[in-house]
Amino acid sequence: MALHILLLAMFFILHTAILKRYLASERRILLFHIGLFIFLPFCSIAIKSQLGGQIISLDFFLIYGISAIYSLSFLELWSLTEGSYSLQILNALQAGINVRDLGSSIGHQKQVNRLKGMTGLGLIQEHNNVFEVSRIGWLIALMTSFLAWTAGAKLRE
Amino acid sequence: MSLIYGIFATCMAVLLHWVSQFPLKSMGTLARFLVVFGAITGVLIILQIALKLPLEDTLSAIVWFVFLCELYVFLFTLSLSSISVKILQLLRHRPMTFVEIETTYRPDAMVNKRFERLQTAGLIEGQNNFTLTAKGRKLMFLLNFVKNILHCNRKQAW
Repeated sequence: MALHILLLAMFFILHTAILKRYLASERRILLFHIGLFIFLPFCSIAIKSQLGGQIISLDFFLIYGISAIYSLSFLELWSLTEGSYSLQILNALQAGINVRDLGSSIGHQKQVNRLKGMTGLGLIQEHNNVFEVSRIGWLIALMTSFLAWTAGAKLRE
Repeated sequence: MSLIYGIFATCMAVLLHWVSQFPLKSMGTLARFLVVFGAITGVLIILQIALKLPLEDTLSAIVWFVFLCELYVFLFTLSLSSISVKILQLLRHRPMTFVEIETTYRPDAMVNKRFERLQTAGLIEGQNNFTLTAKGRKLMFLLNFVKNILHCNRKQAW
């Protein structure tokens, strides 16, 4: 476990020093972390066995769990600092821009961008300027409704 | 086995999160979940001590429980506040044109809601001309510090 945490720390330092220049898009960073999640535990186990350590099946579960926590936390922080709407508002306020005056146009732009993004991901489809959810989009909408229900909150406006 | 324990503990946490909305009405959604999460982690530790389970097994179960809870928190906060999710929810009921989407989910109302939330969280203050509070400035410093670590420097376009 200690070896695996050390490897993850090395990857984190590598990211801050070099990799962040090449992993600037959402797709790239996501694919990188999927790869890291799949392959790094194998590397840890291989290094441990080379060093003469005893491998038990529990090691796999523990190491995969730690990798999963690392990747999810990293991606959450990455997306929060990359494109969070609230953070953009706070940044603009700090820069002295009165964002509320721009409110409507920002909101409009956000909706256009999200519609484009979701169309690109295949969550919605557009026919003759009419948008409709795809099968996968419908499933995601249903799942998010369920999650909001378990959280005990109605979907906010 | 540890993975199964982790999944079972997470299912219990989600169930208790739903139940907790009735006795803990005044608490926020996330705060309620943290209470449930803390209680279940405590139970897992007590079970480990009482039943003398192998430490590695309990540790592995707790690691998976933490990961699944983090994923759940990420997903339910996304469900509650994401613009994309809100649009998907609208389109789930019927197909709409862009004008219909804008009329139902008004951009200015959307922005006002964000301001309300930031104000409730104590990050901004004011009526029409908003400014950052001390708490907001501290958060911005922290997030910009993290941003510099994780991202290449790019200017925000407005």
